[in-house]
Amino acid sequence: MNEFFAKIVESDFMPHGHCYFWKTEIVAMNVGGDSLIMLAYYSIPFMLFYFAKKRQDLTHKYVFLLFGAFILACGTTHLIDMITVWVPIYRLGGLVKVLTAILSVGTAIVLWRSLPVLLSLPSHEQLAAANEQLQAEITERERAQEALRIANDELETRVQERTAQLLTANQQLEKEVAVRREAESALQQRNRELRRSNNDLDNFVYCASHDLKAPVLNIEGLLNVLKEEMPVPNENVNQLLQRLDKSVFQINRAVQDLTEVSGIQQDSNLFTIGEAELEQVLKEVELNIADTIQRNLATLETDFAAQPVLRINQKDLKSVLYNLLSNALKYKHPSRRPHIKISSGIEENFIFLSVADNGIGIDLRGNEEKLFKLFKRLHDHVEGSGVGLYIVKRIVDNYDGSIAVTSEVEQGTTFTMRFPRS
Amino acid sequence: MKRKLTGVLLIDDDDTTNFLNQRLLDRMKVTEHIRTFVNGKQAFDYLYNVSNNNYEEESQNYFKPELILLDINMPVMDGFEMLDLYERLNPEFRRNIIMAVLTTSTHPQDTANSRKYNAEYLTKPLTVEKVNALLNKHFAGKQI
Repeated sequence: MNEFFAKIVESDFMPHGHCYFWKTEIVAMNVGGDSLIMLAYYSIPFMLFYFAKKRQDLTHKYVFLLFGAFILACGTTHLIDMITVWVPIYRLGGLVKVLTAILSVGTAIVLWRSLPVLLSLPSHEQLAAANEQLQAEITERERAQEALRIANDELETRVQERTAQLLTANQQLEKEVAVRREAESALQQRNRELRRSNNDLDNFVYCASHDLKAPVLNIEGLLNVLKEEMPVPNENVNQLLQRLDKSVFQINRAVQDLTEVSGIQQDSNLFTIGEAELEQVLKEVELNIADTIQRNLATLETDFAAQPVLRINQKDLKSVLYNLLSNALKYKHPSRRPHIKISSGIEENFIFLSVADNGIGIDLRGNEEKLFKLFKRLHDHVEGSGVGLYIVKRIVDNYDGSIAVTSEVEQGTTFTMRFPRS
Repeated sequence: MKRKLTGVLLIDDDDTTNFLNQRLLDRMKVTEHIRTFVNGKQAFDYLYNVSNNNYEEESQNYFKPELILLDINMPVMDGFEMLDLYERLNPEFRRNIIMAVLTTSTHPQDTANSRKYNAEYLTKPLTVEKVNALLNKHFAGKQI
Protein backbone atom coordinates (compact mmCIF):
# COMPACT_ATOMS: atom_id res chain seq x y z
CA MET A 1 0.00 0.00 0.00
CA ASN A 2 2.76 2.33 1.00
CA GLU A 3 4.43 1.36 -2.17
CA PHE A 4 1.29 2.26 -4.10
CA PHE A 5 1.19 5.76 -2.70
CA ALA A 6 4.94 6.13 -2.90
CA LYS A 7 4.86 5.30 -6.59
CA ILE A 8 1.61 7.13 -7.22
CA VAL A 9 3.07 9.19 -10.02
CA GLU A 10 5.68 6.58 -10.95
CA SER A 11 5.66 5.74 -14.63
CA ASP A 12 6.82 2.19 -14.34
CA PHE A 13 4.24 0.83 -16.79
CA MET A 14 3.82 0.89 -20.50
CA PRO A 15 2.25 4.07 -21.84
CA HIS A 16 -1.27 3.52 -23.13
CA GLY A 17 -0.21 4.75 -26.56
CA HIS A 18 1.33 1.37 -27.09
CA CYS A 19 -2.10 -0.18 -26.94
CA TYR A 20 -3.04 2.12 -29.82
CA PHE A 21 0.19 1.08 -31.56
CA TRP A 22 0.80 4.76 -31.65
CA LYS A 23 -1.50 4.88 -34.61
CA THR A 24 -1.86 8.55 -35.23
CA GLU A 25 -5.59 8.54 -35.95
CA ILE A 26 -6.44 6.43 -32.87
CA VAL A 27 -4.22 8.51 -30.59
CA ALA A 28 -5.65 11.66 -32.09
CA MET A 29 -9.24 10.50 -31.71
CA ASN A 30 -8.77 9.30 -28.11
CA VAL A 31 -6.71 12.26 -26.99
CA GLY A 32 -8.86 14.73 -28.95
CA GLY A 33 -12.08 13.23 -27.61
CA ASP A 34 -10.73 13.07 -24.07
CA SER A 35 -9.49 16.65 -24.23
CA LEU A 36 -12.81 17.97 -25.53
CA ILE A 37 -14.73 15.92 -22.97
CA MET A 38 -12.38 17.19 -20.25
CA LEU A 39 -12.83 20.79 -21.35
CA ALA A 40 -16.57 20.33 -21.37
CA TYR A 41 -16.49 18.49 -18.00
CA TYR A 42 -14.33 21.19 -16.46
CA SER A 43 -16.55 23.96 -17.71
CA ILE A 44 -19.94 22.47 -16.76
CA PRO A 45 -19.30 22.35 -12.96
CA PHE A 46 -18.40 26.03 -12.86
CA MET A 47 -21.59 26.86 -14.64
CA LEU A 48 -23.48 24.68 -12.14
CA PHE A 49 -21.70 26.30 -9.19
CA TYR A 50 -22.34 29.71 -10.64
CA PHE A 51 -26.02 28.83 -11.11
CA ALA A 52 -26.29 27.41 -7.62
CA LYS A 53 -24.64 30.48 -6.23
CA LYS A 54 -26.87 32.92 -8.15
CA ARG A 55 -30.09 31.04 -7.46
CA GLN A 56 -30.24 31.50 -3.73
CA ASP A 57 -33.72 30.00 -3.56
CA LEU A 58 -32.63 26.56 -4.94
CA THR A 59 -34.10 23.87 -2.72
CA HIS A 60 -31.66 21.12 -3.82
CA LYS A 61 -28.43 23.05 -3.94
CA TYR A 62 -26.41 20.09 -2.75
CA VAL A 63 -27.55 18.04 -5.79
CA PHE A 64 -26.06 20.72 -8.01
CA LEU A 65 -22.88 20.73 -5.98
CA LEU A 66 -22.62 16.92 -6.14
CA PHE A 67 -23.22 17.00 -9.89
CA GLY A 68 -20.51 19.64 -10.22
CA ALA A 69 -18.10 17.59 -8.14
CA PHE A 70 -18.73 14.34 -9.97
CA ILE A 71 -18.52 15.98 -13.43
CA LEU A 72 -15.31 17.66 -12.34
CA ALA A 73 -14.02 14.22 -11.24
CA CYS A 74 -15.10 12.71 -14.60
CA GLY A 75 -13.20 15.52 -16.37
CA THR A 76 -10.14 14.63 -14.32
CA THR A 77 -10.43 10.92 -15.36
CA HIS A 78 -10.42 12.04 -18.98
CA LEU A 79 -7.37 14.23 -18.23
CA ILE A 80 -5.60 11.25 -16.66
CA ASP A 81 -6.64 9.11 -19.70
CA MET A 82 -5.06 11.70 -21.96
CA ILE A 83 -1.84 11.75 -19.91
CA THR A 84 -1.58 7.97 -19.68
CA VAL A 85 -1.39 7.76 -23.47
CA TRP A 86 2.16 8.99 -22.98
CA VAL A 87 2.87 8.87 -19.24
CA PRO A 88 1.64 5.64 -17.61
CA ILE A 89 0.51 7.00 -14.18
CA TYR A 90 -2.10 4.24 -13.82
CA ARG A 91 -1.95 4.31 -10.02
CA LEU A 92 -3.09 7.94 -9.94
CA GLY A 93 -5.56 7.15 -12.74
CA GLY A 94 -7.04 4.35 -10.70
CA LEU A 95 -7.24 6.45 -7.59
CA VAL A 96 -8.95 9.25 -9.52
CA LYS A 97 -11.43 6.72 -11.00
CA VAL A 98 -12.20 5.36 -7.51
CA LEU A 99 -12.81 8.87 -6.24
CA THR A 100 -14.94 9.61 -9.31
CA ALA A 101 -16.83 6.35 -8.77
CA ILE A 102 -17.57 7.28 -5.13
CA LEU A 103 -18.78 10.73 -6.18
CA SER A 104 -20.82 9.29 -9.07
CA VAL A 105 -22.44 6.57 -7.03
CA GLY A 106 -23.10 9.02 -4.18
CA THR A 107 -24.62 11.45 -6.62
CA ALA A 108 -26.74 8.68 -8.15
CA ILE A 109 -28.02 7.64 -4.73
CA VAL A 110 -28.73 11.18 -3.66
CA LEU A 111 -30.44 11.87 -6.98
CA TRP A 112 -32.46 8.70 -6.63
CA ARG A 113 -33.60 9.65 -3.20
CA SER A 114 -34.34 13.22 -4.20
CA LEU A 115 -36.27 12.14 -7.26
CA PRO A 116 -39.78 12.24 -5.68
CA VAL A 117 -39.15 15.65 -4.20
CA LEU A 118 -37.67 16.91 -7.46
CA LEU A 119 -40.62 15.49 -9.37
CA SER A 120 -43.00 17.30 -7.13
CA LEU A 121 -41.30 20.59 -7.85
CA PRO A 122 -43.62 22.54 -10.08
CA SER A 123 -42.55 23.08 -13.58
CA HIS A 124 -42.18 26.52 -15.05
CA GLU A 125 -45.49 26.13 -16.94
CA GLN A 126 -47.21 25.01 -13.85
CA LEU A 127 -45.80 27.94 -12.01
CA ALA A 128 -46.73 30.24 -14.82
CA ALA A 129 -50.26 28.87 -14.87
CA ALA A 130 -50.48 29.11 -11.13
CA ASN A 131 -49.11 32.58 -11.32
CA GLU A 132 -51.61 33.53 -13.97
CA GLN A 133 -54.41 32.13 -11.87
CA LEU A 134 -53.14 34.00 -8.89
CA GLN A 135 -52.93 37.14 -10.98
CA ALA A 136 -56.51 36.56 -12.11
CA GLU A 137 -57.57 35.99 -8.55
CA ILE A 138 -55.77 39.11 -7.46
CA THR A 139 -57.46 41.08 -10.22
CA GLU A 140 -60.79 39.57 -9.25
CA ARG A 141 -60.14 40.39 -5.63
CA GLU A 142 -59.13 43.94 -6.49
CA ARG A 143 -62.29 44.30 -8.51
CA ALA A 144 -64.31 42.96 -5.60
CA GLN A 145 -62.47 45.26 -3.28
CA GLU A 146 -63.23 48.19 -5.54
CA ALA A 147 -66.86 47.18 -5.68
CA LEU A 148 -66.83 46.88 -1.92
CA ARG A 149 -65.21 50.27 -1.61
CA ILE A 150 -67.85 51.79 -3.89
CA ALA A 151 -70.60 50.08 -1.94
CA ASN A 152 -68.98 51.27 1.23
CA ASP A 153 -68.78 54.81 -0.06
CA GLU A 154 -72.38 54.64 -1.13
CA LEU A 155 -73.35 53.33 2.25
CA GLU A 156 -71.32 56.01 3.92
CA THR A 157 -73.03 58.64 1.79
CA ARG A 158 -76.41 57.21 2.61
CA VAL A 159 -75.57 57.05 6.27
CA GLN A 160 -74.50 60.67 6.12
CA GLU A 161 -77.64 61.61 4.23
CA ARG A 162 -79.79 59.68 6.67
CA THR A 163 -77.95 61.23 9.59
CA ALA A 164 -78.49 64.64 8.11
CA GLN A 165 -82.18 63.84 7.61
CA LEU A 166 -82.45 62.58 11.15
CA LEU A 167 -80.66 65.62 12.40
CA THR A 168 -83.05 67.86 10.53
CA ALA A 169 -86.01 65.84 11.74
CA ASN A 170 -84.63 66.01 15.25
CA GLN A 171 -84.17 69.75 15.01
CA GLN A 172 -87.69 70.10 13.74
CA LEU A 173 -88.94 67.96 16.57
CA GLU A 174 -86.99 70.01 19.05
CA LYS A 175 -88.41 73.12 17.53
CA GLU A 176 -91.87 71.62 17.76
CA VAL A 177 -91.27 70.60 21.34
CA ALA A 178 -90.06 74.10 22.14
CA VAL A 179 -93.14 75.59 20.47
CA ARG A 180 -95.39 73.23 22.37
CA ARG A 181 -93.62 73.88 25.60
CA GLU A 182 -94.05 77.56 25.01
CA ALA A 183 -97.71 77.07 24.23
CA GLU A 184 -98.06 74.93 27.31
CA SER A 185 -96.38 77.46 29.52
CA ALA A 186 -98.52 80.18 27.97
CA LEU A 187 -101.53 78.02 28.71
CA GLN A 188 -100.38 77.48 32.27
CA GLN A 189 -99.76 81.16 32.64
CA ARG A 190 -103.25 81.81 31.29
CA ASN A 191 -104.60 79.20 33.65
CA ARG A 192 -102.88 80.83 36.59
CA GLU A 193 -104.21 84.21 35.54
CA LEU A 194 -107.68 82.80 35.19
CA ARG A 195 -107.47 81.12 38.55
CA ARG A 196 -106.19 84.32 40.06
CA SER A 197 -108.91 86.39 38.46
CA ASN A 198 -111.40 83.77 39.53
CA ASN A 199 -110.10 84.05 43.07
CA ASP A 200 -110.12 87.80 42.82
CA LEU A 201 -113.68 87.64 41.63
CA ASP A 202 -114.65 85.36 44.48
CA ASN A 203 -112.92 87.65 46.93
CA PHE A 204 -114.61 90.59 45.33
CA VAL A 205 -118.00 88.92 45.56
CA TYR A 206 -117.30 87.99 49.16
CA CYS A 207 -116.19 91.48 50.09
CA ALA A 208 -118.96 93.13 48.11
CA SER A 209 -121.64 90.95 49.64
CA HIS A 210 -120.11 91.49 53.05
CA ASP A 211 -119.96 95.24 52.58
CA LEU A 212 -123.47 95.32 51.14
CA LYS A 213 -124.81 93.36 54.04
CA ALA A 214 -124.24 96.05 56.64
CA PRO A 215 -126.11 98.86 54.84
CA VAL A 216 -128.89 96.49 53.80
CA LEU A 217 -129.33 95.39 57.39
CA ASN A 218 -129.29 99.02 58.39
CA ILE A 219 -132.00 99.91 55.89
CA GLU A 220 -134.09 97.05 57.22
CA GLY A 221 -133.51 98.22 60.77
CA LEU A 222 -134.20 101.85 59.92
CA LEU A 223 -137.37 100.85 58.11
CA ASN A 224 -138.58 99.08 61.24
CA VAL A 225 -137.67 102.08 63.36
CA LEU A 226 -139.47 104.34 60.92
CA LYS A 227 -142.61 102.23 61.23
CA GLU A 228 -142.44 102.48 64.99
CA GLU A 229 -141.75 106.20 65.08
CA MET A 230 -144.22 107.46 62.47
CA PRO A 231 -147.88 108.11 63.19
CA VAL A 232 -150.32 105.49 61.97
CA PRO A 233 -149.89 105.58 58.21
CA ASN A 234 -152.66 105.77 55.67
CA GLU A 235 -153.33 103.08 53.07
CA ASN A 236 -151.03 104.58 50.42
CA VAL A 237 -148.11 104.85 52.76
CA ASN A 238 -148.79 101.32 53.95
CA GLN A 239 -148.53 100.06 50.38
CA LEU A 240 -145.29 101.94 49.91
CA LEU A 241 -143.97 100.43 53.13
CA GLN A 242 -144.93 96.97 51.96
CA ARG A 243 -143.10 97.51 48.68
CA LEU A 244 -140.10 98.79 50.61
CA ASP A 245 -140.22 95.69 52.81
CA LYS A 246 -140.34 93.46 49.76
CA SER A 247 -137.45 95.25 48.09
CA VAL A 248 -135.36 95.02 51.25
CA PHE A 249 -136.21 91.34 51.51
CA GLN A 250 -135.12 90.78 47.91
CA ILE A 251 -131.86 92.65 48.26
CA ASN A 252 -131.22 90.82 51.51
CA ARG A 253 -131.68 87.46 49.84
CA ALA A 254 -129.48 88.43 46.87
CA VAL A 255 -126.72 89.44 49.25
CA GLN A 256 -127.23 86.20 51.18
CA ASP A 257 -126.91 84.19 47.95
CA LEU A 258 -123.79 86.04 46.95
CA THR A 259 -122.23 85.32 50.30
CA GLU A 260 -123.08 81.68 49.94
CA VAL A 261 -121.61 81.51 46.43
CA SER A 262 -118.36 83.17 47.42
CA GLY A 263 -118.32 81.01 50.52
CA ILE A 264 -117.76 77.88 48.42
CA GLN A 265 -114.48 79.20 47.14
CA GLN A 266 -113.50 80.54 50.55
CA ASP A 267 -114.10 77.15 52.07
CA SER A 268 -112.36 75.28 49.31
CA ASN A 269 -109.17 77.08 50.27
CA LEU A 270 -109.21 75.37 53.62
CA PHE A 271 -110.89 72.12 52.80
CA THR A 272 -109.42 68.74 53.40
CA ILE A 273 -111.32 66.08 51.54
CA GLY A 274 -113.07 63.60 53.74
CA GLU A 275 -115.50 60.84 52.99
CA ALA A 276 -119.21 61.39 53.18
CA GLU A 277 -121.79 58.66 53.58
CA LEU A 278 -124.56 59.32 51.13
CA GLU A 279 -127.30 57.74 53.23
CA GLN A 280 -126.40 59.74 56.30
CA VAL A 281 -125.98 63.11 54.55
CA LEU A 282 -129.23 62.59 52.67
CA LYS A 283 -130.98 62.00 56.01
CA GLU A 284 -129.73 65.35 57.28
CA VAL A 285 -130.89 67.11 54.13
CA GLU A 286 -134.29 65.40 54.33
CA LEU A 287 -134.62 66.69 57.87
CA ASN A 288 -133.83 70.24 56.71
CA ILE A 289 -136.54 70.19 54.07
CA ALA A 290 -138.91 67.83 55.87
CA ASP A 291 -141.82 70.28 55.77
CA THR A 292 -141.41 70.88 52.03
CA ILE A 293 -141.33 67.13 51.41
CA GLN A 294 -144.45 66.62 53.49
CA ARG A 295 -146.29 69.56 51.98
CA ASN A 296 -145.67 68.21 48.48
CA LEU A 297 -146.35 64.58 49.46
CA ALA A 298 -143.03 63.75 47.82
CA THR A 299 -141.41 60.32 47.88
CA LEU A 300 -137.69 59.61 47.80
CA GLU A 301 -136.05 56.49 46.43
CA THR A 302 -132.36 55.75 46.94
CA ASP A 303 -129.86 53.27 45.58
CA PHE A 304 -126.40 53.69 47.08
CA ALA A 305 -125.53 49.98 47.10
CA ALA A 306 -122.80 50.20 44.47
CA GLN A 307 -121.12 53.27 45.96
CA PRO A 308 -122.26 54.14 49.50
CA VAL A 309 -119.60 56.84 50.10
CA LEU A 310 -118.18 59.80 48.18
CA ARG A 311 -114.79 61.43 48.61
CA ILE A 312 -116.26 64.84 49.29
CA ASN A 313 -116.74 67.10 52.28
CA GLN A 314 -120.00 66.44 54.12
CA LYS A 315 -120.85 70.11 53.98
CA ASP A 316 -120.40 70.17 50.20
CA LEU A 317 -122.39 67.00 49.63
CA LYS A 318 -125.10 68.41 51.83
CA SER A 319 -125.19 71.60 49.80
CA VAL A 320 -125.34 69.63 46.54
CA LEU A 321 -128.17 67.38 47.69
CA TYR A 322 -130.01 70.25 49.32
CA ASN A 323 -129.99 72.34 46.17
CA LEU A 324 -130.90 69.47 43.82
CA LEU A 325 -133.70 68.16 46.06
CA SER A 326 -135.05 71.68 46.60
CA ASN A 327 -135.08 72.19 42.84
CA ALA A 328 -136.78 68.85 42.24
CA LEU A 329 -139.54 69.84 44.65
CA LYS A 330 -139.73 73.41 43.46
CA TYR A 331 -140.20 72.37 39.84
CA LYS A 332 -142.60 69.53 40.50
CA HIS A 333 -145.25 68.64 37.98
CA PRO A 334 -148.62 70.14 38.98
CA SER A 335 -150.55 66.97 38.25
CA ARG A 336 -148.51 64.33 40.04
CA ARG A 337 -146.72 63.78 43.30
CA PRO A 338 -142.99 64.40 43.18
CA HIS A 339 -140.86 61.26 43.14
CA ILE A 340 -137.09 61.70 43.36
CA LYS A 341 -134.63 58.94 42.72
CA ILE A 342 -131.10 59.40 44.06
CA SER A 343 -128.49 56.84 43.13
CA SER A 344 -124.75 56.37 43.05
CA GLY A 345 -122.41 53.94 41.33
CA ILE A 346 -119.27 53.34 39.35
CA GLU A 347 -119.01 54.05 35.67
CA GLU A 348 -115.65 53.34 34.01
CA ASN A 349 -113.23 55.80 35.64
CA PHE A 350 -115.90 57.76 37.41
CA ILE A 351 -118.06 57.62 40.45
CA PHE A 352 -121.43 59.05 39.64
CA LEU A 353 -124.22 60.50 41.73
CA SER A 354 -127.52 61.19 40.05
CA VAL A 355 -130.72 62.88 41.11
CA ALA A 356 -133.73 62.20 38.90
CA ASP A 357 -137.17 63.74 39.31
CA ASN A 358 -140.53 63.48 37.59
CA GLY A 359 -141.10 67.22 37.47
CA ILE A 360 -141.94 69.64 34.71
CA GLY A 361 -138.62 69.17 32.95
CA ILE A 362 -136.46 71.73 31.22
CA ASP A 363 -136.35 72.63 27.58
CA LEU A 364 -132.61 72.19 27.21
CA ARG A 365 -132.29 73.43 23.65
CA GLY A 366 -129.65 76.15 23.91
CA ASN A 367 -130.12 76.30 27.64
CA GLU A 368 -127.72 73.68 28.94
CA GLU A 369 -124.91 76.20 29.31
CA LYS A 370 -127.18 78.78 30.87
CA LEU A 371 -128.53 76.34 33.38
CA PHE A 372 -125.45 76.37 35.59
CA LYS A 373 -124.73 80.07 35.36
CA LEU A 374 -125.07 82.45 38.25
CA PHE A 375 -128.43 84.23 38.50
CA LYS A 376 -129.76 82.52 35.35
CA ARG A 377 -133.26 81.22 35.67
CA LEU A 378 -135.20 79.19 33.14
CA HIS A 379 -138.50 79.28 34.99
CA ASP A 380 -140.25 82.23 36.55
CA HIS A 381 -143.38 80.69 37.93
CA VAL A 382 -141.75 79.99 41.28
CA GLU A 383 -139.43 81.99 43.55
CA GLY A 384 -135.75 81.50 42.96
CA SER A 385 -132.50 83.37 42.76
CA GLY A 386 -130.56 81.42 40.14
CA VAL A 387 -127.90 80.45 42.61
CA GLY A 388 -128.60 76.80 43.47
CA LEU A 389 -127.28 75.05 40.36
CA TYR A 390 -124.38 77.44 40.17
CA ILE A 391 -123.38 76.42 43.66
CA VAL A 392 -123.75 72.74 42.78
CA LYS A 393 -121.56 73.15 39.72
CA ARG A 394 -118.93 75.09 41.61
CA ILE A 395 -118.72 72.41 44.26
CA VAL A 396 -118.50 69.64 41.67
CA ASP A 397 -115.79 71.64 39.85
CA ASN A 398 -113.83 71.94 43.06
CA TYR A 399 -113.59 68.14 43.15
CA ASP A 400 -112.53 67.97 39.47
CA GLY A 401 -115.90 66.51 38.70
CA SER A 402 -118.47 67.28 36.06
CA ILE A 403 -122.21 67.71 36.03
CA ALA A 404 -124.56 66.84 33.18
CA VAL A 405 -128.28 67.22 32.77
CA THR A 406 -130.83 65.34 30.72
CA SER A 407 -134.42 66.36 30.65
CA GLU A 408 -137.69 65.89 28.87
CA VAL A 409 -140.36 68.55 29.09
CA GLU A 410 -143.37 67.33 31.10
CA GLN A 411 -141.48 64.15 32.05
CA GLY A 412 -138.68 65.06 34.40
CA THR A 413 -135.05 65.98 34.81
CA THR A 414 -131.94 64.03 35.76
CA PHE A 415 -128.75 65.62 37.05
CA THR A 416 -125.69 63.38 36.97
CA MET A 417 -122.44 64.30 38.65
CA ARG A 418 -119.26 62.41 37.87
CA PHE A 419 -116.16 62.43 40.05
CA PRO A 420 -112.79 60.94 39.13
CA ARG A 421 -112.27 57.58 40.83
CA SER A 422 -108.87 58.04 42.38
CA MET B 1 -137.83 91.58 86.00
CA LYS B 2 -134.17 91.23 85.31
CA ARG B 3 -131.72 93.61 86.83
CA LYS B 4 -130.25 96.22 84.57
CA LEU B 5 -126.68 95.88 83.44
CA THR B 6 -124.14 98.40 84.73
CA GLY B 7 -123.35 99.38 81.18
CA VAL B 8 -122.95 98.28 77.56
CA LEU B 9 -120.31 99.22 75.00
CA LEU B 10 -121.18 99.19 71.31
CA ILE B 11 -118.13 99.11 69.05
CA ASP B 12 -118.86 99.48 65.34
CA ASP B 13 -117.50 101.79 62.67
CA ASP B 14 -121.02 102.23 61.25
CA ASP B 15 -122.99 104.86 63.23
CA THR B 16 -126.30 103.67 61.89
CA THR B 17 -125.60 100.21 63.25
CA ASN B 18 -124.65 101.73 66.57
CA PHE B 19 -127.73 103.91 66.47
CA LEU B 20 -130.05 100.97 65.77
CA ASN B 21 -128.40 98.72 68.35
CA GLN B 22 -128.45 101.45 70.97
CA ARG B 23 -132.10 102.11 70.26
CA LEU B 24 -132.88 98.39 70.55
CA LEU B 25 -131.09 98.09 73.90
CA ASP B 26 -132.70 101.33 75.16
CA ARG B 27 -136.14 100.10 74.32
CA MET B 28 -135.39 96.76 75.95
CA LYS B 29 -134.22 98.72 78.99
CA VAL B 30 -131.16 96.57 79.32
CA THR B 31 -129.08 99.32 80.91
CA GLU B 32 -128.90 103.03 81.75
CA HIS B 33 -125.42 103.39 80.33
CA ILE B 34 -124.49 102.81 76.73
CA ARG B 35 -121.40 104.12 75.01
CA THR B 36 -120.56 103.76 71.36
CA PHE B 37 -117.13 103.70 69.71
CA VAL B 38 -116.21 103.67 66.02
CA ASN B 39 -113.06 101.59 66.28
CA GLY B 40 -111.22 99.18 68.55
CA LYS B 41 -108.61 101.67 69.63
CA GLN B 42 -111.13 104.16 71.08
CA ALA B 43 -112.87 101.35 72.92
CA PHE B 44 -109.65 99.88 74.26
CA ASP B 45 -108.40 103.27 75.49
CA TYR B 46 -111.68 103.71 77.32
CA LEU B 47 -111.48 100.24 78.91
CA TYR B 48 -107.84 100.80 79.82
CA ASN B 49 -108.75 103.99 81.67
CA VAL B 50 -111.68 102.38 83.43
CA SER B 51 -109.63 99.38 84.50
CA ASN B 52 -107.03 101.72 86.01
CA ASN B 53 -109.68 103.90 87.67
CA ASN B 54 -108.32 106.72 85.62
CA TYR B 55 -111.55 108.74 85.54
CA GLU B 56 -113.68 110.99 87.68
CA GLU B 57 -116.07 109.04 89.87
CA GLU B 58 -118.95 111.42 89.22
CA SER B 59 -118.68 111.32 85.47
CA GLN B 60 -121.70 109.65 83.95
CA ASN B 61 -119.63 109.00 80.85
CA TYR B 62 -117.34 106.54 82.59
CA PHE B 63 -118.67 103.21 83.79
CA LYS B 64 -117.57 99.63 83.86
CA PRO B 65 -119.58 97.69 81.27
CA GLU B 66 -120.97 94.20 81.70
CA LEU B 67 -121.54 93.61 78.01
CA ILE B 68 -119.47 94.60 75.00
CA LEU B 69 -120.70 94.15 71.43
CA LEU B 70 -117.76 94.21 69.05
CA ASP B 71 -117.67 94.45 65.27
CA ILE B 72 -114.82 92.72 63.42
CA ASN B 73 -114.13 94.86 60.37
CA MET B 74 -113.22 98.34 61.48
CA PRO B 75 -110.62 100.90 60.46
CA VAL B 76 -107.68 101.87 62.72
CA MET B 77 -108.01 98.81 64.95
CA ASP B 78 -110.23 95.87 64.11
CA GLY B 79 -112.12 93.62 66.48
CA PHE B 80 -109.52 90.86 66.78
CA GLU B 81 -106.68 93.32 67.32
CA MET B 82 -108.67 94.86 70.08
CA LEU B 83 -109.37 91.45 71.61
CA ASP B 84 -105.62 90.81 71.64
CA LEU B 85 -105.05 93.92 73.73
CA TYR B 86 -108.14 93.38 75.86
CA GLU B 87 -106.85 90.00 76.98
CA ARG B 88 -103.87 91.73 78.58
CA LEU B 89 -106.08 93.77 80.89
CA ASN B 90 -106.45 92.76 84.52
CA PRO B 91 -108.35 89.43 84.63
CA GLU B 92 -110.26 90.54 87.72
CA PHE B 93 -111.52 93.55 85.75
CA ARG B 94 -112.52 91.34 82.83
CA ARG B 95 -114.21 88.67 84.94
CA ASN B 96 -117.71 90.12 84.82
CA ILE B 97 -117.62 91.43 81.28
CA ILE B 98 -119.33 89.49 78.51
CA MET B 99 -117.60 89.98 75.19
CA ALA B 100 -119.69 89.31 72.06
CA VAL B 101 -118.50 89.59 68.50
CA LEU B 102 -121.29 91.02 66.37
CA THR B 103 -120.63 90.80 62.67
CA THR B 104 -122.09 90.18 59.23
CA SER B 105 -119.31 87.73 58.52
CA THR B 106 -120.02 84.02 58.47
CA HIS B 107 -116.49 83.24 57.44
CA PRO B 108 -115.39 80.06 59.21
CA GLN B 109 -112.12 81.71 60.17
CA ASP B 110 -113.97 84.48 62.02
CA THR B 111 -116.13 82.06 63.98
CA ALA B 112 -113.06 80.01 64.88
CA ASN B 113 -111.21 83.15 66.03
CA SER B 114 -114.09 84.17 68.25
CA ARG B 115 -113.99 80.83 70.03
CA LYS B 116 -110.27 81.30 70.55
CA TYR B 117 -110.90 84.60 72.35
CA ASN B 118 -113.67 83.15 74.46
CA ALA B 119 -116.12 85.58 72.90
CA GLU B 120 -119.73 85.04 71.94
CA TYR B 121 -120.49 85.09 68.24
CA LEU B 122 -123.56 86.92 66.97
CA THR B 123 -124.55 87.69 63.41
CA LYS B 124 -126.14 90.97 62.44
CA PRO B 125 -128.74 92.23 62.68
CA LEU B 126 -129.04 92.38 66.43
CA THR B 127 -132.57 91.44 67.48
CA VAL B 128 -134.56 91.33 70.71
CA GLU B 129 -134.38 87.53 70.58
CA LYS B 130 -130.60 87.46 70.25
CA VAL B 131 -130.13 89.93 73.11
CA ASN B 132 -132.50 88.00 75.34
CA ALA B 133 -130.78 84.72 74.57
CA LEU B 134 -127.44 86.23 75.47
CA LEU B 135 -128.71 87.78 78.68
CA ASN B 136 -130.42 84.59 79.72
CA LYS B 137 -127.27 82.62 79.13
CA HIS B 138 -125.01 84.86 81.18
CA PHE B 139 -127.14 86.79 83.65
CA ALA B 140 -130.10 84.52 84.33
CA GLY B 141 -128.63 83.27 87.62
CA LYS B 142 -127.86 86.75 88.87
CA GLN B 143 -131.30 88.21 88.94
CA ILE B 144 -131.95 90.60 91.78
